[in-house]
Amino acid sequence: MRSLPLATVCRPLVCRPLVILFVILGQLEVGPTTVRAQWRGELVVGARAFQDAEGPGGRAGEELDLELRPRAGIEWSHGTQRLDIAPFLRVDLLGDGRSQLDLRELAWTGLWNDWVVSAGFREVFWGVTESSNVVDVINQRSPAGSLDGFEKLGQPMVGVRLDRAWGLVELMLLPWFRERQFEGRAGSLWSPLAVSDGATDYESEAGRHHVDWAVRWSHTFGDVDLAVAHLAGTSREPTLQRGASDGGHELWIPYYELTDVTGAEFQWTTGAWLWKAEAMTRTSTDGRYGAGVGGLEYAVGDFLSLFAEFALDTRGSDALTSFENDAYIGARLLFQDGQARVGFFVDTRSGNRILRASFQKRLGDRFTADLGARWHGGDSGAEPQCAPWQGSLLSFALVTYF
Amino acid sequence: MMFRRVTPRPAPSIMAMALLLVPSGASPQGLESPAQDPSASPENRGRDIALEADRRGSGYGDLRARLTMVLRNRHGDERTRQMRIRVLEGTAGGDRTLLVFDRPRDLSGTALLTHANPDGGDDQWLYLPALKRVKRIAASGQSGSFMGSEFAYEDIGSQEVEKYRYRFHGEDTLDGEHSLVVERVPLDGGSGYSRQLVWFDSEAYRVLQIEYYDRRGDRLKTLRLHGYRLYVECLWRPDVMEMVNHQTGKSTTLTWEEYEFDTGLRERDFERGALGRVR
Repeated sequence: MRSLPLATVCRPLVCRPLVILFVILGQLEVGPTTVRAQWRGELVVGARAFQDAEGPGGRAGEELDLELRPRAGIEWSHGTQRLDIAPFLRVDLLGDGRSQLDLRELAWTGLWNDWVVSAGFREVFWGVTESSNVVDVINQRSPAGSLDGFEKLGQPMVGVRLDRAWGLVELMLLPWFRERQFEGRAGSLWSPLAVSDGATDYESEAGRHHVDWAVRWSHTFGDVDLAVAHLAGTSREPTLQRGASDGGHELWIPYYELTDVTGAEFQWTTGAWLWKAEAMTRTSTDGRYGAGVGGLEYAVGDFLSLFAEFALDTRGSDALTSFENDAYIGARLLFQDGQARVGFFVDTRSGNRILRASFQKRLGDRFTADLGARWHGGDSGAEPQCAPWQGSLLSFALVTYF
Repeated sequence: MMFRRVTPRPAPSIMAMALLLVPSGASPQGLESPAQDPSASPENRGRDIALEADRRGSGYGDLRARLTMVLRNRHGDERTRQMRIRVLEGTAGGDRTLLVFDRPRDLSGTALLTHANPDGGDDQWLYLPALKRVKRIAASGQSGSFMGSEFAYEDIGSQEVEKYRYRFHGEDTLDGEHSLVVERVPLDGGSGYSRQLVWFDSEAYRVLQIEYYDRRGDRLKTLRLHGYRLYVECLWRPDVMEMVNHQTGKSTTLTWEEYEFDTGLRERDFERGALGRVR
């Protein structure tokens, strides 16, 4: 067996963030007395049963898996330097190919006066609304069996952040792209064709090594929170194009185009009422399009929140999301030993309806039990791309905290 | 000894857990203070006692502590919450408080940041570590329950002298300590109380007990403060605060540990952007 040269295993662009990380780490003085480490984690046994087991695409009717989510933080130099490590392991106990080992976070962060510098794999959240977040574009998100159907993959990046009286500015360089994963049910649309699990097309000749960048400004003006952000680079959301496998079978091939996404967020918090809106516009090969979500939250004490929102997408039913003309109402109830959530979506064009409900209860100090249900009504074929997030299901998870 | 700012602040600030119930100084000049003048009118004497207690709560800059909250229902079933608290006092924009939860474990790492605005209304942000999400939330009204406990936000909020009308109620002996009892009536209509009776010990002006009366005038809750210890030479802090609700039979115990003062916290440690770095 021939040995692989390091350059093949670890391509320069892939390794760039890690190299930068270690170069920076090498510059640091680590005082042995000041290092503080802490860790915690979760072990999850999750089971899901789907009602549409007999549908096209050979979807499995059940999922059963084990997830391990440890998380460690190491601090030194009086807390001005830290390393965060959060691997993720999923073992698919039914063998449908959904097993996964991922780095959700492996990031170094350093503070110098007003500056915060970070490098490594990170998760970032942008957005203000409840039902969906159209401006949350930094991390790749893969359809997963959970109720809201997303899990984020760690994004390699080098970031700089400056907190000033006029706002918080973040600048990120994103040297390596992560593809959406289509394993298991995520790969089966309301279509007889499967999604290719190997072939992928990119608009950029650099493929996944295209260096993306993003910038975001956010600020609080009294009761109003504002943010504006821009991402230039490879679209996190693929379009699916018909293609053929090596064996000549027709299938869907994910295509990632280059795009410019500009987003804005607004929230006005006035007493118990919270008015929220977020919107984005992006370029695409089919021309510029936009999407937005807006609505309000009403807080009853700090235990009950009621939500009403509306989502728009100018692509209409071509959108890769089911939130193209959807009204949403929802509620979240916190109680002493857990919480309950319910949400109802109506697509005002297709008439599709989705009801989601979940209930989480603490069992002693180390366990929680999560019960979830999703009901989908209407014509599923109207939104073929949205299949992974539709379909009725029941889910149960037992979470152990350590 | 430094004087504490006395700014009018109509809205509650959770901040406060720190300023908690008028921390009192260990000044030896107790007997010479106007609060001890028996010839004053009950209104003036009550107000003087409150001012003296407030005066002795010094500007400590910042503090860190661990806090354990035990919630008990009328059957004696217990639930425990553990958190770390950091407070920065007296910035230009008002006090800053950061609470980070350790227990229950499913909330571990969840953080609540509060900016108390001098002109009323707090700003609050919640950090959800699983989503890496910072969420601006509606600040709870002052009469609302603090995290499902028997403490209302106004009970743990900064107890500014201007927020009440006072009247000296009498002298009493509580747990062997000679106490001055002052009745105070909240001026803000949003308060959940018609009046409160506050027991101050007559030497150091530490709050030993508070009785809360509901809007109908019925006795609602009693707060006892135990285990006072002296920190940084002039700050008295209780280790244990016990609130009993007489109407529901529920109670909440707050236990403070590992107090540290002047730890070098700065405003930037309490900015919205710092929430993602909280562990």
